[in-house]
Amino acid sequence: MSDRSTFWPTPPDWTTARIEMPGVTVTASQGDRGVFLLSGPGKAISELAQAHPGTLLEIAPDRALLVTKPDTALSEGWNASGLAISDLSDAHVRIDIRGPGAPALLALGSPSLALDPKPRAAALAFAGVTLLVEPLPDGARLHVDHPQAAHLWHWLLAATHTAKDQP
Amino acid sequence: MTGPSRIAGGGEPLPFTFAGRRLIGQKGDSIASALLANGIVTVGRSFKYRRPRGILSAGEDEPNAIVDVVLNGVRVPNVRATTQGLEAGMAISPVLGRGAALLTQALSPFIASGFYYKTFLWPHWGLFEPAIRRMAGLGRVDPDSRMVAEPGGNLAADLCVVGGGRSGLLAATKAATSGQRVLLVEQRAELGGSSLWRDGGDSVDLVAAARDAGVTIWTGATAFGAYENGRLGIHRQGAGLADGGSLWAVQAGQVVLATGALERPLLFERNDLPGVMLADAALHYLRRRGVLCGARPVIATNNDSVYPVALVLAKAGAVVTLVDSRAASERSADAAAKGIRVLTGARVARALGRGRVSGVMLTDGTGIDADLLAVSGGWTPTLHLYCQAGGKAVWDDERAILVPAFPVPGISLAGRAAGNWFAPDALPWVWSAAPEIPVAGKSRKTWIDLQNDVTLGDVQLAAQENFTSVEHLKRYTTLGMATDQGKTANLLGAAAMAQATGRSATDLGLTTYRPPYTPVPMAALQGLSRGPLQSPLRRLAAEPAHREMGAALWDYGGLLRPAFYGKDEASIATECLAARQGAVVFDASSLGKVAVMGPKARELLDFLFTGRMSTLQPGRIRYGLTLNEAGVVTDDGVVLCLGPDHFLVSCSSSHVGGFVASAEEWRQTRFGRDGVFIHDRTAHWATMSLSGPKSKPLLAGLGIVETLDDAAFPHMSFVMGRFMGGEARVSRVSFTGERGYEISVPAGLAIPLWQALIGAGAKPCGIEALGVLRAEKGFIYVGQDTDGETMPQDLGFDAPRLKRREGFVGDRALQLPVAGDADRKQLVGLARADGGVIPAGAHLIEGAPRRSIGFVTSSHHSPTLRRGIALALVEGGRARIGQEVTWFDLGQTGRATVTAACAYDPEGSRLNV
Repeated sequence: MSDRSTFWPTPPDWTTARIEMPGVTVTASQGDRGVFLLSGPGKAISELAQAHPGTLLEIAPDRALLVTKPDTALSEGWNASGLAISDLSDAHVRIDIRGPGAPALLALGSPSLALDPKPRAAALAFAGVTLLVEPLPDGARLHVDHPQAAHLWHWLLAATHTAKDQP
Repeated sequence: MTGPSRIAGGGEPLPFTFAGRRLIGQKGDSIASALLANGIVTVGRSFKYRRPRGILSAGEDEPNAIVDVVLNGVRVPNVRATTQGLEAGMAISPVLGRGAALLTQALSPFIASGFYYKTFLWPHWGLFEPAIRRMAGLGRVDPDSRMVAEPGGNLAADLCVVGGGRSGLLAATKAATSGQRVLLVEQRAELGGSSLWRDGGDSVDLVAAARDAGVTIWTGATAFGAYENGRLGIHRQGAGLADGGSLWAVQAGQVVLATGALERPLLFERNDLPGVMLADAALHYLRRRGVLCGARPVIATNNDSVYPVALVLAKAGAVVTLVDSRAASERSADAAAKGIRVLTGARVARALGRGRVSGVMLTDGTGIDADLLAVSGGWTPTLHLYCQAGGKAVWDDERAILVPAFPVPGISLAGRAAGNWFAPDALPWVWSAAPEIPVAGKSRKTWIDLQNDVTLGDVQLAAQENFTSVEHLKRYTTLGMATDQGKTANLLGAAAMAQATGRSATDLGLTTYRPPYTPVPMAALQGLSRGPLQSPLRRLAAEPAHREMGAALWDYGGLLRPAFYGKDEASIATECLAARQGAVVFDASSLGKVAVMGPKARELLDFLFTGRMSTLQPGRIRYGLTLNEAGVVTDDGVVLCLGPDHFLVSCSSSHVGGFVASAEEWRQTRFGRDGVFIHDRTAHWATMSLSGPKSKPLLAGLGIVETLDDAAFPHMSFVMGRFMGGEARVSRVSFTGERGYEISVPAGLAIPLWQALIGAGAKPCGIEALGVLRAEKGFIYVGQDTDGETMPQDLGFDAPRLKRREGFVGDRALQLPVAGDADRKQLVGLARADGGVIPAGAHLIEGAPRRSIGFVTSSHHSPTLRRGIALALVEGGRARIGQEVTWFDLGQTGRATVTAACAYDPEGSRLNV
């Protein structure tokens, strides 16, 4: 088998990665938040989220991702209130897509976002990758498993042509 | 003047070549109009019989004018000349040249439909298939040519109107005025539909109104498919020939199909002769391109739509004869009064001419001199998208048109597509007419499907052989299966079959409509999914560090991983020896880390694995296999007990998704949704696997854990530690047979951990060396050393079948008689007497005639053992240990001795060295 090192582009440095397009700015970050996957009764998830302010992304009726302060200490495993907790603080790269052109770029990646730019359920397929979407006032934040983040980034680089004349 | 010529124009000249001839077209020409303007009537040869063919239509229904085009070094095959705009410098050639024309034509009486099926049945089709495939096909793909394509994407709208003619524009404007988001797509470059060349309504005002109302208009965009949930596939043409355009998925609340209708040809002998053209196309070329397709046209019809055509052609200077199969009427009298020679109650029996039309013979024997035979056999509403969306088109005898049988939710039809030819705003002609199938004349010279060379005789033969449903007719004759999808042929074929079997067209129906309506370039289908974006791999957090150390990165089951470190594969042996003699580090971050948590976690794990996990104590690790319901091994891995109701499953790298999906399904369906949960933590952790006799002191030097004492920290256990302020988990497991430690840290610390281990003296080790090391030990790769029938006992794990009593996935299958068959393929080792390597994949054979008794699953040269080693699945393998077998690979054979799977350290003493 031939060496594929050159075929596959090197992943970007997530601390400096940035794409500037007319009307759209794309930035990335990693490891600067406390991120926890919570499973269990919705009430218990809500109570835990209230105790640790941040963003709660709904994945399923009994599953959510809590994105909170980086120094948050939550014990992994099964807790007394019937919650299963996993620390995923290093699992994701967060990619922010912002600007007036963001809706078109987001719709390019996902039919779901073309229909509903602010979906209630966070998990969807985008550019062939299953990820979590957090709506932002001027775009969206994509939480993607870091092993797939390089693909998503290079897809975003390639998708420099966005539809201009959409209804 | 004879044949086609340009009589109006003056646009910018565009030079091009056709079959090597230098020609001049003009800006705005299609390839077809440019060829006609240069007097070219024959544009290629037919697919099967290599008969000369000319331009039939002016749109997407064209069956004949399919050409290969080279422009700026890019070759694009199978371009429809009637819809592709001419560009300066195009080198155009027919997809099928004269070639074996004479021979094939001479043989044509003998190669009717079904010829191949019948003739090449014996001894078997495969013997002849390669040669026949070489002879068949359209166009030539140039592997060096690359079309570009835009990304395309997804789009939502309240209403999508397909078709930019009058009806489409009216519907779009009305909806947009009421505040809806409206997208209108039109496949041609201009809006207006047939009003651009037909009198009866100016569309300029309608276009302006649509724009003013805020309708988003895409011209050069074809809605080629209607898919589930009301989604339309739309292809937007690119800027030029080599631009494949873009593909769009449009989700619209409502779809209006204003797709118009397509003209049908008439059937008569030699109706495939170049110079036979649809009447509407003749009008199109004159009005839109300034090309008069014949100076002495005969226009043959069974409906009123050609009368305006006759008048326009006559006005342009042509001497027109109009042949109408119907009785004389007010309209025919009116045409005659305007100087048109009209023959009513007359039909064309045959086109005359050698290589092109030079005359027409009527059924009453009248001969007419002609250089163009323009025909109209009625019009077929374009209902493709309606049918693709679940509708059904049926023939309406009363109105003599094809109509939608029932409404499809979310789909409306407008204008002529709806058969609405009598509405006040519709064009004022009576175009409907039933297909007429000739009962006299040579049916084998009467062509129904021009692109696939299907004749009336072929349809009659199919009926004779009882292939009487339209679906059977299609498959027996290939009618409607060409790139034009039988747009001009399907209804005629059905009508011909109806006539041949004494049924009505209503009873017969039509074949299933499927996307795409018109061909879509592969480049557009591909969109952004090309190169590294086509099939993306998962990447390791430490990839930059591996690259820095000169790793050769290969694709392994959806992951990009270091194969070896160094210039070439000679490094693999060095890495193997380093693992046996010193210490190596291997990036195992992609191994699964799947948490199973909750009061029912133990119960679930017991059910998922062949071995019992519920007895596992915190801090301990246990190996296990997972099976599917058929008892076949799907994966292997280890389970770590993190706490009383908290476990971590480390499954194979490529099986993480499969394991999680399977475990989640069993959790939800068997264990309830609140007693146990499964979290995939794989991405959060990076794991470096340290292995070799010197691994212990090396790891001790890093101070990650407090003690590495073997008594407190034995093989198959783990301890927690710290690395650079972060949590670290160190497990004693081994996939090499040597003492091993897997150090897992948060992924953000992957590179520091890798560098720390390398800095401490560990040598980097890639997957290739690991593959050799584990094969020496007889450790399996599930999927490589197993197949779709391998059960645990075939790998030497008898306990799940013989001893375990409680239920687990696949347990029932393990009790089937076949599971105890002595001849099951079992995992064994192989060794050649000369120490050579047996080719991986080689079969093990015996008997006469020889048969396969198994195959080699893994094979390597072992640098440690200095000989070839191999693993194989062999029938009754364990009973054959010590026996010699014959291997066979690509004509080569050799002998090997069956051995135990483990070739290195069978006692396992190296784990504690």
